[in-house]
Amino acid sequence: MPAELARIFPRLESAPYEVTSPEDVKYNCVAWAAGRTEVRRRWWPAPSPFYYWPVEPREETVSGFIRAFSHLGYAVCDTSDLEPGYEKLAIYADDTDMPTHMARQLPSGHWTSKLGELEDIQHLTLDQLTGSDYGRVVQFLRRKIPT
Amino acid sequence: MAELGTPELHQTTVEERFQSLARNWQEETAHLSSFTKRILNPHYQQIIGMGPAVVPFLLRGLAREPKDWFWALYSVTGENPVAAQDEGDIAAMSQAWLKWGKQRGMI
Repeated sequence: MPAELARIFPRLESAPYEVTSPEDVKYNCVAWAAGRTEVRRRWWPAPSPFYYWPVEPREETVSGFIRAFSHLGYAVCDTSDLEPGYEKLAIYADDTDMPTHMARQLPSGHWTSKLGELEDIQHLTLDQLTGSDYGRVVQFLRRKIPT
Repeated sequence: MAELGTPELHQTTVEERFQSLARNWQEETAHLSSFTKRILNPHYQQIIGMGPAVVPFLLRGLAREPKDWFWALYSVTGENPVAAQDEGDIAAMSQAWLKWGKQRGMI
């Protein structure tokens, strides 16, 4: 539903994007950022068993997300620039430092995002999803792509 | 025709109110992944505020399609039948709550 997405994300049409999956309630943006195989369950640092989270304690802060993804081999990095041999993630947060969204960089340099329980999209820039609901990008993470 | 205060009218009113709140909640939060933002949405909070009368409608909703009603069910009933190994698995969580509801004759 591209028209609906454009209403929710006013900057979405500022650059190319493509819907790449149907709506699916089974997984969310963090699960999708964690990898293509994590599409069976929803990730969030909420009380168990309401959502899955890979580490304890469950902290709904940017540093809590960094700690969780460090267990998956990610470390903080400075830019979203495409680096050969690395996979990057972006963490969005609101003004209170509460994470709102994660996106994963594709080998093309484009980004893939699962929009809550709506569709997956590929988008050219991270800015396309910024706004009142997702806030802004506050942190980049990267890990070496396994050979 | 049901008169004011009859069980039939009360039941219809509860269901209509739930459906209206659920529709508004879905519209406002479907694009959000944040558990906190989803459950703190005013429509979701009003569903919780409806109390035990809303439980059968939450369960029937789960029977139709998996939805994020688990926190509302927990908040209203004080129970949580979902096994730890099923955390975040919305299909397994739905099945656990539907089994719970059937055992109590709610669906």
